[in-house]
Amino acid sequence: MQKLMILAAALTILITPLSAEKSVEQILSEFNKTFSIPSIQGTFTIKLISKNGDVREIKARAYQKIVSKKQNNRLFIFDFPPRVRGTGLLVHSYSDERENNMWIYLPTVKRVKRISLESSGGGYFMGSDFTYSDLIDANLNNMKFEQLESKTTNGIDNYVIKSWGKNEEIIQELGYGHIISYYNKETSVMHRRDFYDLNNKLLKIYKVEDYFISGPYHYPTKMTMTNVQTEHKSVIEVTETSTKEIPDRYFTTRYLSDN
Amino acid sequence: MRIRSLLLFFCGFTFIFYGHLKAEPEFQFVSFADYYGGIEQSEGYENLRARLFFSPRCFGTIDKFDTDYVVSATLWGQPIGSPGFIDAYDIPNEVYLSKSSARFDLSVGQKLITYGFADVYGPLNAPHSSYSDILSLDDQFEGRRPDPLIQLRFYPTTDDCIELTYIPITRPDKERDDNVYLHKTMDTVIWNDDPYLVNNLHSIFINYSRYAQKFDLQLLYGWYTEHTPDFKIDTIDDSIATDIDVVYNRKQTFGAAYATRLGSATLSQDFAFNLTSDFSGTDIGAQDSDITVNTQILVNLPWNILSQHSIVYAYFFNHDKYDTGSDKVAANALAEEIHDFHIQPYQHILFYVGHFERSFLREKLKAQLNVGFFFSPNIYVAPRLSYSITDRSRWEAGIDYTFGDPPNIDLRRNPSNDNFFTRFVMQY
Repeated sequence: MQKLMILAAALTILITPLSAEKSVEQILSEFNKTFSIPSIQGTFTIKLISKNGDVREIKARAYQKIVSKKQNNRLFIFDFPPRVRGTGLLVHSYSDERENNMWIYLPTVKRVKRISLESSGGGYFMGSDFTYSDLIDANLNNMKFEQLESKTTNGIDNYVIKSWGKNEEIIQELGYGHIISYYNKETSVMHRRDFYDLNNKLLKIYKVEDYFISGPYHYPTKMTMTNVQTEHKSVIEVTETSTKEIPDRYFTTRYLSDN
Repeated sequence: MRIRSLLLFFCGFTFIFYGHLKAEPEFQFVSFADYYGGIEQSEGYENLRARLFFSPRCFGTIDKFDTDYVVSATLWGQPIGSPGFIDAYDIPNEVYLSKSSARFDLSVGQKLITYGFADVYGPLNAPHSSYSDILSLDDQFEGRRPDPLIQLRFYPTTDDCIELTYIPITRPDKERDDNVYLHKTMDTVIWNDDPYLVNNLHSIFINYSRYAQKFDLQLLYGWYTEHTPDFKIDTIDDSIATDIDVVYNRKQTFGAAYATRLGSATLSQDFAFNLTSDFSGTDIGAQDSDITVNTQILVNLPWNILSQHSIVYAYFFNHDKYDTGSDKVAANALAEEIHDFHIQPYQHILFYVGHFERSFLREKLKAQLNVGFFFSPNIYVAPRLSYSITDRSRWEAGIDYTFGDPPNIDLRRNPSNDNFFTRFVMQY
């Protein structure tokens, strides 16, 4: 009996660290499960806050649908300010070797135009501190990962993962030397990301401040991105959120130009 | 009488459909006040234009018929410049109804349509007349004029679209008001000020488009009335003064265009073979047939400068095959005028248009530079600044400047030459 107890204790000691500490793959996979809400739509408000506190606001209707394990579609139809009203942005992003596709509809010239993510306003989404690549799932095959020591922030125990482009071309394309992401150990949600510039100096801090929770899914509905170098800040808020199934026709250039 | 008819049309449209509107119609409004000053060195400073501009747009759905509608109009007056008010026929802008089903879209009414992927000098963008005497080449408020049309789109898949557009009647390009005396041949060009080309009915465009993973594609065939006039020259003789009337001939365009990602840039190319009424090139007053290729690259430069580069090449068939008659000197003078008017001064032409843009102050201040290089001393530069005072108002300013003296051609457009402008825009 004593032998059995010693064996059980030994097994516990051996197993506990294994079950508590997860691999990078497990952490990312569990995060993806919390994030992979099949269909979500809402009103998207971006606040651009300058160093002196001046605020500009952009509003859009936003739709997102996971088409398959490898494809995610997004559509934004801008409603405010009047200067960009009617402009539409359709993004088909892929997590395999396929390149992302993006089309913009410009109502003043009535034209659907293919654009590359990097060509769109300097890579920054509507002049905010979020780049297009910040808003689109990175192709994991293009990234390298390293698990850093766990950290506690604001009372939350986190796994910490450092990631960077697997070659110079991808690093240049992303525009970041490396990224450090914080995953809540309890919920698997990624709630903070620190972006470092190409000289590996801290550039931006991304924080999730609120979520829309539906079953196993945690969809961020309030996100801030603070550029510590320029002292600019952008806040994205998603309101009127709905998980109602979005028809596939929404993610076509036909719908893009008709709305 | 014209204005009364138009008002009756609008009132009738509103009366018939108002009771059936599904929800509150959406309303948009753009208004501006601007001033253009002429700074052409050889002519001294002059007041070119001061314009007050209003453009309301209303759209929504008619519940009873499950049909969308768009009604928009343009109205302007000019305390400085001629004419004093917009032509009554130009007041209605887009006015159309459209109905969609799973595989079809049908639009009926006055609507703007766009073909090809090129943003400037797009050879597939053949439908619609345009304002030919604009002061700025990138004037966003005075572009093309919509035509009455019936447009049927069929979507066999979500990526593909086959479109058939019938335009029963179209309009001529808006040229200058006054007739033009050609001093070398003593002839006078009489412009056509008819609002519609009633003697040149029926235009058809068939377009196939595909927006897909690797690339986007368009194929176009157009059989249409050309909006840019040809010139009916009865006598080629510099000792006899004659009137030269403008005529609007038919044209066919066979076009193809694609757009694809090229690394971190986007490449598009538009190809068109334009077959005019005078392929042999013997008519001195007619446009020559041509092949035009527009290559456009959109790429982000360092310092977050968005840039777009367009290189346009055109080859004109039978360029110098015009019939000279008995007076070769007069024929050459007329050919020079007309070739320049039709932007076909040489058998091969090649030019570059660049657009550079960068935003500052969190998108509040936008700086742009347009450059046109025609592989000659004529380099066109057009810097622009736009500052958003509020979300609904902005101030714009710019310069249109061409190096060198203006060409000594009587028929040349944009007689106002180099200029600057300042504009205050309100948008709701």
